[in-house]
Amino acid sequence: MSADRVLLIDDEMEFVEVLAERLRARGLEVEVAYSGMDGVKKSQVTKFDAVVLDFAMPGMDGIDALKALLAGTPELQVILLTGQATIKTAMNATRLGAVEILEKPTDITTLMEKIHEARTRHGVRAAERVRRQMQETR
Amino acid sequence: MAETLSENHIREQAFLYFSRVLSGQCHEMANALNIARELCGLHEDILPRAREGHADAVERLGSLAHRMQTQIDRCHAIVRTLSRFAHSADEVRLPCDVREIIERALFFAARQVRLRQAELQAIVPAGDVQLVECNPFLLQQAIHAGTELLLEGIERSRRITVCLTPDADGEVVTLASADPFVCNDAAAELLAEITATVQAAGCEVRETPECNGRLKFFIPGCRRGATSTDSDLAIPKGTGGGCDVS
Repeated sequence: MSADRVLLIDDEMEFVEVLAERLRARGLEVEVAYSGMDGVKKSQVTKFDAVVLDFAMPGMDGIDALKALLAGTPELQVILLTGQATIKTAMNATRLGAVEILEKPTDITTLMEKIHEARTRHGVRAAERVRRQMQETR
Repeated sequence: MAETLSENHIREQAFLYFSRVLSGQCHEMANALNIARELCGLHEDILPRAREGHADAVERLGSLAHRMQTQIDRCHAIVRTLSRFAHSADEVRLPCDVREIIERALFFAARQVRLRQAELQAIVPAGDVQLVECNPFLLQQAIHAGTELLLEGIERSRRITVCLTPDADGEVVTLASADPFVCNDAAAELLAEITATVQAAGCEVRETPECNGRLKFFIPGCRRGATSTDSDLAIPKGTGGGCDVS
């Protein structure tokens, strides 16, 4: 089984670099993006099992990035990792399709579990989509 | 419209400003603490290899300590600035250091400016501190709101320059952008708020940005050549002198 492939999107460069290193040390394949726009572009080039997305970023914020990510790949598993987790944010993000809302700081073990769960869901959803497409073409 | 804004309204706006500063700086501190926490985690990850004597791991622990120190310093700068800011609300109208007021206002405005993908530059003269007589809290609020006003009214520019120049009877703070300013409804409302705040601070609005994109405040002087105070706030500074951003 191949490693979980994750995209981290956060404008705090030092945070995202350290988190990426820690996740890589645990066997994940990690790419990083420092803006919502950059993250969306990367998600169009590479297939990720999960995206870990910050909320408050310059330019395209987390909510706009979430919409753009899911518009390109509807089954993409987006985990919002934010320091601004309010009920309103969480409800909005969930309504738009985020699969998890985690509040910073989050324990690395918890984040790993959520990424792994996201991968499992991603596989199921992708298989469902293929099955639907096959039924439609019959 | 400025004259009709009541004292209660000014107080409400001041409270809103205080809350926004506090909220923004809490996020900034949380960001630094989150980085420090991840660095601690990375330290734990590397420690077993360092204990086994791997030279690369030992070397990395040293660099991690330095990176943690950077984040701790970042938090200290925020705490120190917030503390001075909180105390500035004690002072109704006192002789104060206008450079500190500008730098503190821009330190807090920097977060919003960054989130809107713009840049702030402060141009303050080197040398003796200019003492002015005003309400420092309200002047900070007006400068902060001035940066928001320019961001609201300019469409293309990504840079706002704030400069301090001496005047015959005091000091002038100019907030400027090189691009044309469009006074939409939101900008007009904000400008009225700023005018009222500046007046309540004991200062005067000398120019508004509809004509040339500049907002100028005059702050009455107290005396010159007083004790200089070093400031370590992280606002990019120009070399001083003029305020030509065109």
